[in-house]
This record gives sequence, C-alpha cells and structure tokens, in this order.
Amino acid sequence: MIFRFIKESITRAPRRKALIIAAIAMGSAVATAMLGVMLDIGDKINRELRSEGANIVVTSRAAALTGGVGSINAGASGAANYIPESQVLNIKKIFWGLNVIGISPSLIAQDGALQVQGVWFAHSYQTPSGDTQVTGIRAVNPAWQIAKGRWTLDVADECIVGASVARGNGWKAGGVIDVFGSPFRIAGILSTGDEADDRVFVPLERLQQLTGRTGQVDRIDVAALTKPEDDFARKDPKTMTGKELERWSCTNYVTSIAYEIEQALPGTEARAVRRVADSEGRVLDRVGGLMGMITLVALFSAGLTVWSLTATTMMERRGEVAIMQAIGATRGIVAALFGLEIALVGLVGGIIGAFAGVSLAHYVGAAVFGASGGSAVEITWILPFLIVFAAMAIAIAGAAQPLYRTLRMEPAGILREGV
Amino acid sequence: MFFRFVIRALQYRKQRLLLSFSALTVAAALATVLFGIYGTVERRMRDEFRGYGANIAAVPVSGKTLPLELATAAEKLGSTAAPFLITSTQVNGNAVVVAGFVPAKTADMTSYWHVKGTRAIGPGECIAGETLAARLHLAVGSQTPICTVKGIVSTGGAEDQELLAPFETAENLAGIHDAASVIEIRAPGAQVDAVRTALAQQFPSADVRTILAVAGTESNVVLKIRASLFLLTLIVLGITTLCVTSNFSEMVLERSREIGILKALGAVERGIAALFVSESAALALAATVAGYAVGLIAAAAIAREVFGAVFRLDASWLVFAGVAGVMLAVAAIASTIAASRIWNIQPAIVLRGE
Repeated sequence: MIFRFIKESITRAPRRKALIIAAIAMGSAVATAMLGVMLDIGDKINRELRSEGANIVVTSRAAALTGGVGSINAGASGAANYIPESQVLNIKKIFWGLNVIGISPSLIAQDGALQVQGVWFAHSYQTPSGDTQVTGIRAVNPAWQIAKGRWTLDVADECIVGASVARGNGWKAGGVIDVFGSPFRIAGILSTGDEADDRVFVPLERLQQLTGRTGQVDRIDVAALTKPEDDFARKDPKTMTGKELERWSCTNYVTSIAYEIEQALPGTEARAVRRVADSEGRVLDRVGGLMGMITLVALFSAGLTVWSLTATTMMERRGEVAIMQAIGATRGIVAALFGLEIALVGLVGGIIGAFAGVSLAHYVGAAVFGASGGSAVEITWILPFLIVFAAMAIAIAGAAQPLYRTLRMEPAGILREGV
Repeated sequence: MFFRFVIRALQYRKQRLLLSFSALTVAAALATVLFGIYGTVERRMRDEFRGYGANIAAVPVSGKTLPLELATAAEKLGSTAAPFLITSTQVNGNAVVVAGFVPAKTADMTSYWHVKGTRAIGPGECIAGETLAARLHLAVGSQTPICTVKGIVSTGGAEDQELLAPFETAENLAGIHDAASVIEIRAPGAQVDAVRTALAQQFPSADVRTILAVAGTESNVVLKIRASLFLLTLIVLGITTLCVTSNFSEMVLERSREIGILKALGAVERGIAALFVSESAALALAATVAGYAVGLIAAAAIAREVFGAVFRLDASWLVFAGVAGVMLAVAAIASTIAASRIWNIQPAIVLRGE
C-alpha cells in the first residue's frame, strides 16, 4: 500500500518529483562543496605558509651570541656547545611527529670572512612508521630559489653559495672555491633575500670533518603544521594542572610542539619563531573565520531553499490530503505516507547532491592548490552522510507545518476550494 | 494589457512565484556577500600579512653601513622603513650586541615581539632580549652602563640575544651618524618589486633584496584565497541558475492552458515569451534589491566578526550593479530556456484536457 502510494505519486507527476529532487540535490551540493573546501582550506593554507620558513628553532642550551633583527642576522657566531646529530631525527618521534614536515640541522663555522653553514640538502631517513622520507634545508625553506645553476644532492664536494657573497667574490655557478682548505664546486647560486644570501652552504658531514666536529650540529630549524594559538596556548606549562597539561600537549600549538622537542632532545632549547608563528596564527584564524562565515551563509541559504520548496509542494498537494481523509484515512496514515515520500525524495536528492558536492570541492582544491603539489581537498567520509541526513531532515521539516495544518482542516472545505 | 497580465500572473501564481523569488533572493544575497568579500579580501589579507615583518631588506654592499636616506626614500615610495644600527658594548664584562632602532617606525613591523614591560622606550632606556636577560640576570628596571631596561622581549629570533636601544644611543656607542647596518622595509604587497628596483637604482651602495620567504608566501596565499572564493562563487551561481531554470519551466508547464488560450486567440509565440521573460526580469530585479540588502548586512557582519572591522554597510554601486547584472542574466537564461517550451504547446490539445 505504502509502496503503491509512492509509486503512484512518482509516476503521476514525474516532472514535479524530478524538480524537487533536483532542487534538494543542488542545495546539498552547495552545502557539501562549501563545507568540504572550508574544512580543508586551513590545512592547505597552513602548508602554503610553511614557505615562510622554520617556525621552531632548536639550539643547545648554551647557545652562542648572535646579533640581528627580523629575518636578517648580522654578526658572528661560534658554538660553545652542540646538539648530537644522531638525536636530530628524534624530533620525528614526538607525539606530533607527523605534523613536522621539515627538519634542517646545521653547523655554522667561519672561514676567515666567509660564513659557512653545513646542512642537509636532501637527507633520506626512515620515519618511525617505516617510510623513507627526504628532508633538509629545502623542505624547511621552500621559498628559496636557485638563481643560477641547480641544487646539490649532498654530494661531498659540492656547495651552494648565497647571491650576495657570490657577487662580492665574483663567483659563478660551476666554479670551484676553497673552503677550509678543501675545494668545492659551486652547484648553484642561492637567492633568498635573507641572511642565507651571505653564506656558503656545504654538506653537513663534510663541514663536520673539516672543522673536526664530527657528529655535531649547532641548531635545528623545524617546520611544523600548528594550530593558531589562543589564550590557553600561551599559559606556562609549569603552572598547569595535570588535566590542563594533558589538553595542552594534545593540541598542536607551536609552543607545545616546541616543549615536546625539548623533552625529546635533552639539553636543548626549542623556541617558537614568533615572527613566523604569530603571523601564521593570525592568517589562519582569518582564513578559517572567513570561510566558516561564508559557509554558514551558504548552508543557511541552501537550507532555506529546500525548506521553502517542500513547504510549497505540500501546500499544492492539499487536495490529495483532503481526498485521502475524505475516504477514511486517519491523520497518522496520511502523515506517514507523505512523510515517507518526502524522506525518500530528500534521500535521493541528498545523495546526488552530496556526490556532486564532493567532486566540486575536489575540483576547487585541485584548481587552486593543485599547482603547488598539494593533495586534493580531503573530505572525511562522514560529511556526505551528514549532508544526506540534513537534506532529509530539512525536507521533512519544511513539509511538516503545512501538512499538519492541512490535516487539521475540514477535507470538505479544501475540496470545495478546488485546489 | 501587458502590465495587467504580469500583475495578474503575480497574484494568480503566488506560491510558485514566491518560490522563484526566494531562490533568486537567496542567490542575490549570496552573490552580494561573495562579491563584497571578494573585492576586499586581498587588501584585508595583505593587512594580516604585515605581521610577518619586512618584505625588503637593504644591507650594505661593502663596508658596515648604508646611508639613512634610503629609509626616507622608501617612505616616499609609500612603504614603512625601519633602520637598525648594530653595534656592541660591554655589560658586566660580557660583550653584548646592541641593536639601535626607532621605536615609532619599528612598531608596525614587529607586532610579533612579545614584550614584558613596555616597548615604547625613550632616551636612556632599552629592551633586553630574553636569552640575554637570563644570562646577565637583567629584569625590568635593571641598570646597564648604557641604559635602564624597560622591557624584556621574546621573539625566538636574533633579538632574544640583543640589547635593543634607541637609534641615537647606538649611534653614540658606535660613533657613526646618519647610517644604518640594516634597513628593513615593508612595501605594499603588490608593489614589492617596483619599490625594490627603484631603491636599488637610487642607492648603488646598498644591496636591496626582496625577502622571498615573506613576499612570495604573501602573494601566493592571497591569490589562492581569492581563487577559492572565485570558484565557490561560480559554483553557487551555477547551481542557482539550474534551480531557477527548472522552476521557471515548471511555471510554463503549469500555465499551458493559459498559453493555449492566448495562442487560440491569436497571440504570437514571441509575444507570449516576452511576457514570461519580462515577468522573470521583474522578479529578478525585486530579488536583487531584497537580496542585496540582506547580503550587505551579512557581509558587514562577516567583516566585523572575522577581520575585526567596524560594522559598516559598505554600499557600493559596483557590487549592486554586479549582483543585478548576474541576477538578470540568471533569470534571462532560465526563463529563455523555459519559454522555448511555448512553441511546442498545441492549443487544441491543451484546452481539450490533458
């Protein structure tokens, strides 16, 4: 009986059913696409912002004296103490290890007037989960560009020189220079605009041999994906209660990641680079807020459209309700029949819309962030389900009020109106 | 006759029209919000990026200093410029790096400095870096040979190990005048290259560099946010067009009897189609006005909530014209597609019954 009713309803006015399903599908598609993009854009922008450079710097507690301002360091540095290189990869083993997307240890030395920095250019290592990954100075500073020549891949006798120091000495890519009495071929000229322009970069292992500091590094630059800081994040972990400390360290604030790094590497000091971390938090907050508000407006609009549509359709079908009541159907049966039909319509429309919305969100993600090597927009499998459910709920809610009103009216009155 | 038809149609099919009207209003409101935000998002996001500090740095090509006029020249080009003079001194027998800075000019670019105490210092006062302060046991109120410590700064960068003093104090210490070690410049995001080139030409003794990490990231992120908004706007408008189209075709079908009568009385198809199209145009215009008003309020609320701007209804004719244009286009496309059915309606068949 129920199925016949629904079948009849669809076969009698297939166009009208298609129209409602289409409208519900479109509302759900807008909602899914908006939500899909909104939920993922923070992560995407977070990765883009990593091209600002490291947001955490690890040094040994007895760090050296350096001078400088902002992203420019001036003045000399000489290491009083060091971090063992063997410990560097422990950073990947902390709770938030997966959020660490770049580690760049370096050893700094001075050869006459020349500042020399030993770094990993492309260092392969095994992650705790068993994958092989590559990290180093390029992973932490993706904005750095080679002006002439190419990057080197940790070849022992190759180096990269900063644009400014190269210009000052008249060095060209492909030339050979002498660092600590050892010849290095210049693979490329690096142009960054910050202090790196004044330096010569050589493979870390080679500089350790040349300076007799095997297995030692002076500082580690870490790029991590973090959550924007709020007031709670700025509390001193020493004054927290046990519960607070647990919540604090289970959130990927830049300060809690730095804290964990200090725990994992004894004798070191991990500091948030405020210039990067603070601004990043602000930008992420704004982007998240903006997309959130737009999504809210879009969700509201989509909901309103579906609601008004089902309400109108219900009004138009008052005659049917009246006839059913006139031939003896109880209110419960009529309500159940119409409710089921609308739920079915909402289900079909919601499913179509959710699928369309997911592919639209993927399209936006690929079109905007695809070029920079980012993955497509990631959408949790829960989202489409929620959308389908919401579509059904809103459709039923829209129909409920007019149906209720019709059921309470005299069938005769409605039928005489000739609706 | 024409107007009577339109007005009667409005009265006769209230429900159906109300539905189209509300769909169009919702679309117009969304379009107003998205257009309004799209227009200002670049400026607002670039403002947020100010926190990353300078996007251009000028350092001496040879020697230790560069002329202070470079800062003045940069300011004339519409940028903020903060000169720094790095020198050193002795505090309790320890060598200490002193960075001279101009508090008023630096404040804008160093919002990331976490200062305990005050950052507004006058002559004879200074701010100590956190690491330095811990090493030399300095606190707010401590005296050093050159100044009184007024604040402790924490940045995670080089400043943590320095004594930040007024520019004049550093000049006197170093015995250098009208010169700086580094001039940090914040140029408006879109003009970084132009400012850098102009300064480099004017001051050959300085190495004027674009700080790629800052300038590159900013334009990259701002462009991507704009592109996302643009695509989302397109999707919303596209889906609205579909929705309104199907609604209008339903309207034509429902009124096939009227159309049949009109045709039987000798009306030409184009005349009937014109009635439908103008009806939908009137609907679109009304929806634009209503949607624009709602959207304006929503956009102002978003600007206040997200960017902390003042709640201000930013009525711009450009946005209104844009929304009206888009809504008219949506209605025109939708009703034209729907009206094409008029040609297929056979009066005799429709009037006979089914």
